[in-house]
Amino acid sequence: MTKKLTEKYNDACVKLFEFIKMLYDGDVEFKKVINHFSDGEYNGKSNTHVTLNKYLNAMKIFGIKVKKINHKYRMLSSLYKLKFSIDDLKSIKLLKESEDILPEGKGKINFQNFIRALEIRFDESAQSICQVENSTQNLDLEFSNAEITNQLKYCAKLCQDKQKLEIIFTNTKGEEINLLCSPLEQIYEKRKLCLKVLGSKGTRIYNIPTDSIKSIKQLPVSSSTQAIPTTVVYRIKNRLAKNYKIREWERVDKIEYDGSQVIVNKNEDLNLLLERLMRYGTQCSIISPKFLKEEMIEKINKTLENYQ
Amino acid sequence: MKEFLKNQKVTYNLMSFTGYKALVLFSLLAEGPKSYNEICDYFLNHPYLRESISIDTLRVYINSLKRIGCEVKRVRGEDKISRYIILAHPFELKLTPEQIQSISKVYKSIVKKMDIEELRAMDNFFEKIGRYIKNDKFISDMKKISLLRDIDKELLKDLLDCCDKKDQIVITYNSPNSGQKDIELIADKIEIENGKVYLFGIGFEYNQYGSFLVSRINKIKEIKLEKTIPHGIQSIRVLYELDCPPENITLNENEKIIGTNKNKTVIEVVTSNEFLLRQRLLAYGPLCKIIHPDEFKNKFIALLKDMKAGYYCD
Repeated sequence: MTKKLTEKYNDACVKLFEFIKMLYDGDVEFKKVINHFSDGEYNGKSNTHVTLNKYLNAMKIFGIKVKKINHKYRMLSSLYKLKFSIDDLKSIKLLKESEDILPEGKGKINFQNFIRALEIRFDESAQSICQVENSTQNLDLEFSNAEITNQLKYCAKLCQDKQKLEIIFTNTKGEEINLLCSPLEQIYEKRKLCLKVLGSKGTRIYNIPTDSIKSIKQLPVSSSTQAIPTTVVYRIKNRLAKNYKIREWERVDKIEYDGSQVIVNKNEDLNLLLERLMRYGTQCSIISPKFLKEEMIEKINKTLENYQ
Repeated sequence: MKEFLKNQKVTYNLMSFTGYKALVLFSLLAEGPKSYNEICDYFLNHPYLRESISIDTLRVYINSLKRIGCEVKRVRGEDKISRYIILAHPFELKLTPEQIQSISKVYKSIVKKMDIEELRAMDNFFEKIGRYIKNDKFISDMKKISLLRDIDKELLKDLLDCCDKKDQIVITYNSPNSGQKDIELIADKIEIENGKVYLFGIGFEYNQYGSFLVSRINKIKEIKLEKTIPHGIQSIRVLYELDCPPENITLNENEKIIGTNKNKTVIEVVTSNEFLLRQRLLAYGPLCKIIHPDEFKNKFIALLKDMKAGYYCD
């Protein structure tokens, strides 16, 4: 059924609400606003600007904050408000501070528009909390991630540039490692920001914590696009098999008659995977690839050497 | 405007009364159903308006609201009085599929760095947004990303309260080995490890500090009014050496550094759960050497030999 719009309406009301609609979509040029209220007939002499001021005052007295910045109107607080708790505001701030994880482009713009759509709908209480937070540097709301923002931006750029990198970083032992690699993405591992890279042979993934990176050099060579990270197959048994929670990047290949399971793992940092599988003790063994199985045996042997 | 700010009096010279009335009407009807009389009363008692509104003018305002995209409906309540309500309007929060995609991408990237309180807050926040945009799929999509997806939120809240108070509780636990059973423990903390949410505490069954997957807890069966201190908790003190500088080590709450020598760090840990400690030390691999006590060290060496033998038997 089509809407019946032939009834008598008030043009001033419609104009005002249409102006508010424009403000919801973003900043609006003064020229566009004045044209809107004068039906495109503003000649600089009519009193449309007086009318506009009356509408702006009506909005202001009602509680809609609109500010003119560089010949553009910007809505700071809207007609229709949503209630947000302090926990909601922390979540919004956490998301906002993580937007740099997205590469520049449509995806990021969409995300920024979502945050703006929320911010202009903040109710009075949410607005005052944010104002306090913005004006008080020392206010600890336990969600400040600002210090890693620069690291995030830099890593995002590296991943976007798609050039090979020479990274010098320190391992847990404190030794400096020099690695030629291709950047993949930025991820969080054990609550630390890591740059996920693919080793120069194109088979080994490394998650390098950004705080352990000493230097990064972009090489004038494009990242390899045909790299295939190593697939690891391992067996888990007994209590571990009963309790094991499959990771997003894993699948169960087989469940044996004794309850043991064969797991196929792709895309995990092999050093971190070895650490994890070591934890499982005798309840886990690597089946393939051969080189990783040998690395595991070497790791066990070297640990045993500590006691000889 | 300056005059208004000074004496709070609204004049026709100051603002558009028509515009202002429309805004007031919009907010009234967006809030809930209002009858003509209720609207009149509101306008009459409004500090700036102080005048009623005729039914014809109200219709004109409602037509104007409809024209800009508001869905205004007239409903008749049990009291047989007609009321107007705005069911939908163009200023509601709306998300495009592309925006939802970007949100889930960001959430996926940060979910692993969030602690339990941040995860709870984020879950609640997305639920709220889902309700605002009237999109259940958005809520379920975000839930799939959350590490709390398999966990009863109310139960988690109750468990966190118990941890705060260090309550002695009995939980019904769905154990993969022995099926459903009751476990008594003193709740200590809830933490995320390897993407899973664990309740930590001193268990009465084995008299040791242990961890329990929260997703396997069915309910809190009992919160004891008085705490009994578990008897016979046998803690061991273990000294181990790590072949790395202290600044690269993240200590657990029960650990402390007792010495450093060149690149080596000696750590003391006191625990009642040898299993969890063994797991932690195994992950260090050759970087770790157990110094004391011999019994724990020998068991650790035997375990390493069994692991090695496992590879040569296959």
